[in-house]
Amino acid sequence: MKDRKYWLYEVKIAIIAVVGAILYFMLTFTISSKGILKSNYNSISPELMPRIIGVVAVIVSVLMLIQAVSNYKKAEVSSDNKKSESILSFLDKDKIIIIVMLIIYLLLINIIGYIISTILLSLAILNYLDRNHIKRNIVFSVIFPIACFIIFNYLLQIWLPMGIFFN
Amino acid sequence: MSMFSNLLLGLQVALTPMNFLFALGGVILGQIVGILPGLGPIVTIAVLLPFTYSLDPIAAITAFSGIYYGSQFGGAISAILVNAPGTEAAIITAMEGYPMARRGMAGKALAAAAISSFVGGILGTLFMVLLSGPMTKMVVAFAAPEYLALMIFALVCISGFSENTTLLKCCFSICIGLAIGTIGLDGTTGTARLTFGNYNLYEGISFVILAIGMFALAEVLRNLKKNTGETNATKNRIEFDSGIVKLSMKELLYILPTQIRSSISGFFIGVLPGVGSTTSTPLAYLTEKKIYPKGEWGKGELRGVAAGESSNNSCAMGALVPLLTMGIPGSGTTAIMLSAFMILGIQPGPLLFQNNPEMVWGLIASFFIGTCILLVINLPLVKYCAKLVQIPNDILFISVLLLAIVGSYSVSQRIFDVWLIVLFGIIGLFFAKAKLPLTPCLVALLLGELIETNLARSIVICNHNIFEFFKRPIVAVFILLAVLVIVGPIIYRNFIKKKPEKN
Repeated sequence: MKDRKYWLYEVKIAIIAVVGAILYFMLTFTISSKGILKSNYNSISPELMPRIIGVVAVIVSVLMLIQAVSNYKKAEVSSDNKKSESILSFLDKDKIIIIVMLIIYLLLINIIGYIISTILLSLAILNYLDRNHIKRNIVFSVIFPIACFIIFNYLLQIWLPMGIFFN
Repeated sequence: MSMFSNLLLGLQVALTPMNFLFALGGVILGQIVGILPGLGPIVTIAVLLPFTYSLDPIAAITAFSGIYYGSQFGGAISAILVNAPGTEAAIITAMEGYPMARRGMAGKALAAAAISSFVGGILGTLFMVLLSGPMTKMVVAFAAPEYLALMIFALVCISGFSENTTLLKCCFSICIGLAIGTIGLDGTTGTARLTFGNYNLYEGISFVILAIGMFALAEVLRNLKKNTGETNATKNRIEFDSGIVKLSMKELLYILPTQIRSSISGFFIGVLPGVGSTTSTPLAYLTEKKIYPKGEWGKGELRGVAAGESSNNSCAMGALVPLLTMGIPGSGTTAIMLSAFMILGIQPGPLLFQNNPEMVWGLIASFFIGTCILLVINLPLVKYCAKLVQIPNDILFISVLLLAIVGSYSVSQRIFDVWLIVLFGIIGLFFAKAKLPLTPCLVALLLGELIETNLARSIVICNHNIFEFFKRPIVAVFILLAVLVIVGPIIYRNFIKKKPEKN
């Protein structure tokens, strides 16, 4: 059965939801319809819809919190001493490393261009995951980005960033 | 008679070499992504959308539809051969098909799956032809208030019928989708909303970006792991001789009633917004189990494979009815189809049937042709398709990652969107962990703008009087249905189901 640890995690999620909903609701007050003639929008002002969504979101998230807390109180205390899951448990080491690689890639792409940065990204990820097939990794990492570049630039006329080396 | 001439017109359009080639390419690609676990039509269409900007809209839509229903076909292959359903809808097929394959009857299971998918696809398309005429006639009478009520009904259905999660979480997911939709310049007045002064956000967050991030990138991050030896695909693999992918006449007749029943129930479940093949396939399976209690259920019953596949394919066709006739998506996959329509400059709805009959009927005719192509591909070539399961995971998902990067970049040709997909990818992982469903968020983002414009028009039409709104008969029916969808299950759970316990 679901024990207290499970519901504690649900409580944490509900708290995040409540905070997020309240934050969004407060942000809707930054929208101002000042300076717009009433006749220009006639029936619905720009902040109406966000505010309705905000109110509904706050109500729904508070209900989520109430539900999670009441289930937590009803649930049995868990037998083992492990801690409840952390809210960041959806990110493990592999995911964090790949996300960091992606961020570095995005910082570099405008400087060194699409082709070089993408070849580097693909090589880095593939070699991080599997060191036993280096040849295969290199072949894939060179051919795939170049093929993408040719298809996009010449067939679809979508210009990918060239970087400083090819300008 | 007019329906017949419409279909003839459609066939003329669908059989032009260009459109035929795109249908062929679409169904083959759909078949492939259906086979590969983790890749589905949402990811594929989202990533491929930018490739179609310069194409003829009819050809592009034909190809996307091919991907859509082709993937329903392909899911069965990996379900039967490696017990790894390529799509959620193929879980039932795996339950009966994999045991059959273990007993050396993989060929029969694959043949039954292909033929049942074919029957489901063809019957589903036929029902679509029959239903879309009356539907468009009804929808033509809709004004803004009716559309608004319909959209509210659709959103309520999506949260009310969702499985494996709570109603509240679905509602919250819808709120997130609607909230993301409010970012950017407001449609009627041009006021900047929640852009924090960042000009990149003025256009708002594109639906395609959200879909690529939350579905494709999250899936990539989930699947790119360090090699840990054997994967499911290699462990459970079953060798089979491709010469025997066929069924005898007797077996064909044995599964025919099942196919027809499952196709009918699948189609009508598909038409309802928010309910899809994850509901229709178990329903068809359980129905057949009740009708034939003597079958070898769970150990490899041919009828089980037939029920799952017919229902699943027919359901996919059913889901296209509200999309084509009303422009309302009822699932994540039809939502991405709708955004493909919109990007290509087509607005689905009753007017499309009136003004562009060659497009609509060409599309529908292409479903018939595509389904036949799929049957032809599946029976003799399934051996080669099955090889796809052997593609190494890391190569497969890094390809998806690289395509997602160029795909999101080309939406508006800026790196900002690629940053956004990384962000949404992380959010998508969190959603999965927190059991927040993704589909409602996606559909809500797409419907958000439509809801706002229709709300604005409704307020004018109803003279700022909320009672005027509810007085309209169609509106009242939709709102009543929506209330029933929410309240019905609660009443059932708390009052009707509890009675036997007291006795």
